[in-house]
Amino acid sequence: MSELLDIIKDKSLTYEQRVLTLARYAEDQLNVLAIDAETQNLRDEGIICDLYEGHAPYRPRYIVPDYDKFVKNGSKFLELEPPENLYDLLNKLIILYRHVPSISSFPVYIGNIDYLIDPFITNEEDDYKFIKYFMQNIDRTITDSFCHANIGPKETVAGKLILRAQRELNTSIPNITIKYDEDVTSKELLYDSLKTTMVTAKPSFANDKMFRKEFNGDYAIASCYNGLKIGGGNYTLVRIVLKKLAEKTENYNEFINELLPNAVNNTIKYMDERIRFLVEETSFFKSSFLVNEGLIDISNFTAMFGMVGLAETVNRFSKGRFGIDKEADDMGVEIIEKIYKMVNEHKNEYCKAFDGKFLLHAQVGIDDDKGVSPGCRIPIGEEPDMASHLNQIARFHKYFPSGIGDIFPFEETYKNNIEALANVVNGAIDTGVRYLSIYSSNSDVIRISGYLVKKSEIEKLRNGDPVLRDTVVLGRGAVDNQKVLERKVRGNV
Amino acid sequence: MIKYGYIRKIIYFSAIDGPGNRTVIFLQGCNFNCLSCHNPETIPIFNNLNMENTEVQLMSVYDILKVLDKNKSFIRGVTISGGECTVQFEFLLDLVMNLKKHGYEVYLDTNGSLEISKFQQMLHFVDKIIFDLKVFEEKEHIKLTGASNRKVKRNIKIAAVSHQIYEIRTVVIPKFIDNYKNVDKISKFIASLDKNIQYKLTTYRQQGVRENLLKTNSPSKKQMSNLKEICNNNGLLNVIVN
Repeated sequence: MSELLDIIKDKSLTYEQRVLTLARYAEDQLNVLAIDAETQNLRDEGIICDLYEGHAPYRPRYIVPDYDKFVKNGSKFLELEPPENLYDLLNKLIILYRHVPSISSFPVYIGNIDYLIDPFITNEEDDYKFIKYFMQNIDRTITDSFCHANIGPKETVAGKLILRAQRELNTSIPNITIKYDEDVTSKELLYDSLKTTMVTAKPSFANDKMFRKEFNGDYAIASCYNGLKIGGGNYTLVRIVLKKLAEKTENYNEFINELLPNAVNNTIKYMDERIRFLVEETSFFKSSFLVNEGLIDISNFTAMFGMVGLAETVNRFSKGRFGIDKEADDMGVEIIEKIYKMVNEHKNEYCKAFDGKFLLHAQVGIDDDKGVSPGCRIPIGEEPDMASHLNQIARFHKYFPSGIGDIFPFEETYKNNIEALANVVNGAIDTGVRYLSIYSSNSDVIRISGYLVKKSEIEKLRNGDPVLRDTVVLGRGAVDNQKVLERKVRGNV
Repeated sequence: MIKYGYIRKIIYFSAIDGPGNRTVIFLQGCNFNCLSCHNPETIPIFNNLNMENTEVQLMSVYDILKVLDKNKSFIRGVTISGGECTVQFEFLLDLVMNLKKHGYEVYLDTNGSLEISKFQQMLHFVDKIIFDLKVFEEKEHIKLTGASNRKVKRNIKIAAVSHQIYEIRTVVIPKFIDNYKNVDKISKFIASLDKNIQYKLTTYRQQGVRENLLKTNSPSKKQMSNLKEICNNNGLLNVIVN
């Protein structure tokens, strides 16, 4: 009970954060999932980690509503007619966002907002003001940086106004991804996106061709950088902390042939159980208006199988260094291929989005991870030159349709040579990179892992002051434990 | 016979040595000895005898192509700089010919002092040139660099005719010369060739400069913008201050 009182008394929580923390505490008093002893052991050892998703999942982790449908039909439950003009649209979207849950209780996907807004644009300058207010509203009310908007791949007037607003507002929310295809996206939109990311660390760049092929059409980028089906989502994300698993043996053969398959199987079992409870025992898919009105459909759902700490695992067993030596990288590929194969062989009856399959996800880590590199990333402090780095990551990106990404801070001089950044992005995409983020090394808004935080807000939190956005707490942990401010700055080296 | 060059350094990604992202190859050795040189360690001209205790590497064209290969997807082109890259003329010619053969866009960053016939030969294999025109008056040029600038001006004229100038640069060094007069003359000279040529006025910074040879301050922002105005008044359309 003292924990409960601690939450109530904690000076660094806002009212909203306190209520959500209390709800999580309450959920975790339950013990309703059927977890066998072996899986529980692996959980206790921190090898299987559900990222504090809760002991009784009562909503999917990530929900990706079909906002086009909402704009077309309105919502009976919310008593909203289809929007008639821009202001009406933006107002109604904000209303809907308030009712889209997720693991954080905030929406992790708010739509391909340029395409949603563009048909309602009538006068660029006047409409710009509304778009700016809309973006500001999102930053101040959806106070969680995992909230993600998409733009592109085609250039629209709305898309350019959204980017302009981002440059002026310089806020950490929402996270934004441009779905980028050199053959579809205009050079102007690419340059505008790069200009914006050097000011405010967004948008990131998603390889549109790669995603479209895997998703057999359109897709959404939600939360950190997770590819998911529109009108669907992801039930759960459970990760294997490879580094901790590797620490159980000195012998690579034992790791790859025994420990890893066993941990993968147990993780799959645990995910199956979480999904079963959510779908069969809770009311979410039976009563949510999102389901009843067809804004989401259970047939578009999947689950995400996560992993972290590949680099440390390889470095334990290989004579070479991950990210530097080919033999080490080859071992990394072997490990990922093994996981990929096992995960793809499993079928879950509720994961119809991909014929019963879970999707692989390179998890970005959590704030209290120490000495564990995100997903397949090269450890901070050991990054090779950027060309080698991009060539290396391309070897891994293809295995992760539900998310993998790498982050590159650039020297400020690149602000004056946007073409140089365009060369890098185009080269990366051509090389097979799925997702990359760029920011200016001296910006206030920076990319922590899959989300954005202002350095100035981290300082506020350090001084014991409450901060509006809950992800600042995670950002502080990542700065302290994962050295994210020490990433190699690119350019002119 | 395989030719080798003395390579001071290779910067894989640069945003400040021409358009787009570029790999920059710095060749060792310079025929000028500018009092204001920021990288005096690149001045000594090397031979096989003094290769000990140095960061300078002997590399063949093949070695360089191999280094560039992994970069190729992410850069717009290659800039060859120095030192003064044309000091190693034979190697440089071989390098630029091969770079063109492998599809690279090639820029040279040069003080422009190469023999005119050799310069014309080089131009065939180079896309654009970045020139340093440090001082307009020959006497003052000799005072700063230890060399005449006659060939520099002549080569600038030649490259202007074939539209192969990417940029001409002048470092603004307070107290050393009358910068207003110098920039006025240079900008008039450039405007007489082509008003569209990009002219960059660079703010002098003491960092790296040999203090026993030159010690002065940086020009103010106001001075720099006044100089830019002079260039614009002389008709230049693309003047940059940095």
